[in-house]
Amino acid sequence: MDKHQLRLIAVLTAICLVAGAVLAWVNGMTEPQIKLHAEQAKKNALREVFPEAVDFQSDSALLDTVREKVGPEIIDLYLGYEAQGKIAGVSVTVESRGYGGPLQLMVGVSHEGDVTGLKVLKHSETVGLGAKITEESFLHQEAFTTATTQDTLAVTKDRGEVEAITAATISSRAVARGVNQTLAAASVVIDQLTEVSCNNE
Amino acid sequence: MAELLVLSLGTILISNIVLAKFLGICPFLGVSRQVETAVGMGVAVTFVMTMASAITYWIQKGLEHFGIDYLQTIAFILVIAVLVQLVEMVIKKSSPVLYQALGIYLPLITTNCAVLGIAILNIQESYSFLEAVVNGFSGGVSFTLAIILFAGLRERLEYSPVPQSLQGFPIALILAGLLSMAFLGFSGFNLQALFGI
Amino acid sequence: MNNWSIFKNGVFNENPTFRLVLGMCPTLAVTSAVINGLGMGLAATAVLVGSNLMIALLRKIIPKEVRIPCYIVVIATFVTIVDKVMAANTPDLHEVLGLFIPLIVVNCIILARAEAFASKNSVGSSIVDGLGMGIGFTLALILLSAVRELLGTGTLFVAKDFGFSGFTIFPEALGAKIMIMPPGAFITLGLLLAGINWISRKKEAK
Repeated sequence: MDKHQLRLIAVLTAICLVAGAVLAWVNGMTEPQIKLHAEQAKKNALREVFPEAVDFQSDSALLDTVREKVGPEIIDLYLGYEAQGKIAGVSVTVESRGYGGPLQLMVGVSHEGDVTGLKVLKHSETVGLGAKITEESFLHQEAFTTATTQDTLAVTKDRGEVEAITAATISSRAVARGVNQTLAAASVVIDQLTEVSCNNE
Repeated sequence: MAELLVLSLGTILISNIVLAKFLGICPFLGVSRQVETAVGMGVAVTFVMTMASAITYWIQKGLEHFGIDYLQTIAFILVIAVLVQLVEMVIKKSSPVLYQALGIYLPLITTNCAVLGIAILNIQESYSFLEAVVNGFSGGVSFTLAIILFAGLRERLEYSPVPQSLQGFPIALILAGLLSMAFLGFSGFNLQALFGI
Repeated sequence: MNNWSIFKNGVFNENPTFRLVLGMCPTLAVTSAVINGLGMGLAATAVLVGSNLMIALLRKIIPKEVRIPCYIVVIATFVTIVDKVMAANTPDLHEVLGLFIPLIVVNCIILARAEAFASKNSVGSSIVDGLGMGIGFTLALILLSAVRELLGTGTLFVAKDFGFSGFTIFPEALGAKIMIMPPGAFITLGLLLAGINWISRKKEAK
């Protein structure tokens, strides 16, 4: 290899190394803030979907069971507790495939199996169309707020009761699918919890 | 299997990467004057995109393993640049005719946002290796479909009297808008229901 | 060329969007709302100034044969920096712009300026060129998104995540939804380009 080729490689490698070092530094500086935002957003979301609960605990064993039984779309779950430490219900986070990409939905389900709240955590839907899934008029419609673990939801086009957003059927369907999965997950959790309390008695 | 088909058709028709996701617009506008060159570009892009999706999947795994996934952008674009260089060398040696035809378009694939875009999308959507490769291939088909249709339209446009201010890019963009509108019709497709999942 | 004419060149004569027709992907994708166009424009400007600066600084050291990969690494580094800084400080805008922030690395404007200008000019001029092109790009994005947001949703400059609810010019129900969908992007840009062509032809005729 002649001197010239060596120089080519040397310069390119040097630039890559400097770039890597700079980025490692920037990453270190920004990571805490980014994590903080994520934590805060999650806390706010939990409080929003489950206003009655005062404390939330995650349970990885339970999460694994639920993922096994319902599917890998369930990304997270938190058990909600009332003031006296009694279980109020569960908050499930699901990832559903929307129009512009994956969307993340958090649904709170009470111990009795009723929906207590819903929130769209993340989405890449079109502004003004699919993005409307975050609006009150869609997300807090009757079909969703009165849903229970016994229901399977679908948009009106698919002979269900969920009123889809005009010209954003795919996004609306994705939300309905997501809610169905969280209801299934909540159902599994409630069964597990009643099993445990039965065994404890 | 049905899920892969849903994924594939979704990328090709419903969320066409050019007409709905706005990836690959520069080559879409630049290389679509004739159907022949459009086909060549489309095939080259499909090949690069499929390979890039496969390779970047493992690169991401590696980056995550060492906790350096902030290097994703650099790593991905370098991989794509190298891949395009390799493809160029291979075509030059194996088919000088094809090389003549594609000429300057090949290096342009590096800056084709569709290739990098699909690679990043595969990671964002947490696709498995198989899903990533299928998505990469479908992305290429998606691009090829759009560019061939567009080239066909533009060839016909050559015979139309276009007002001077609209000549060139303006009318091409408006035409692309109409094509995009046509593809909007696919958004009513419930692929999941069609394939029963 | 003095610095002022370099700057003006980037904004008007060689406006990257309307004259050079570069960087089309983000132009069409993020202009459904003014705040998005503005955010993307500023992010791209930051990368453009940074990369022009570095490349001008290193122009005598980088060998011709590997210049493209070197430029790409420099540009990608600045893109990642902008990406992380936005994720930390403006998380909601970062989320909306999503994929298109890392895609700034293949925004042809940046590589084109690195090759055409920064590799051959001083650091000072290159910074000014980066600023000019970046501002030109940002203005183009703002114009395009203003038209689309206004005709599509009846509002202007809605920036809910920044606590600004924008100006509502007419009720949303009267808006032409097609404007904020892909066809609207293509057609609006096409018509704007035609308009600008027409204006400059009139100017030349004088």
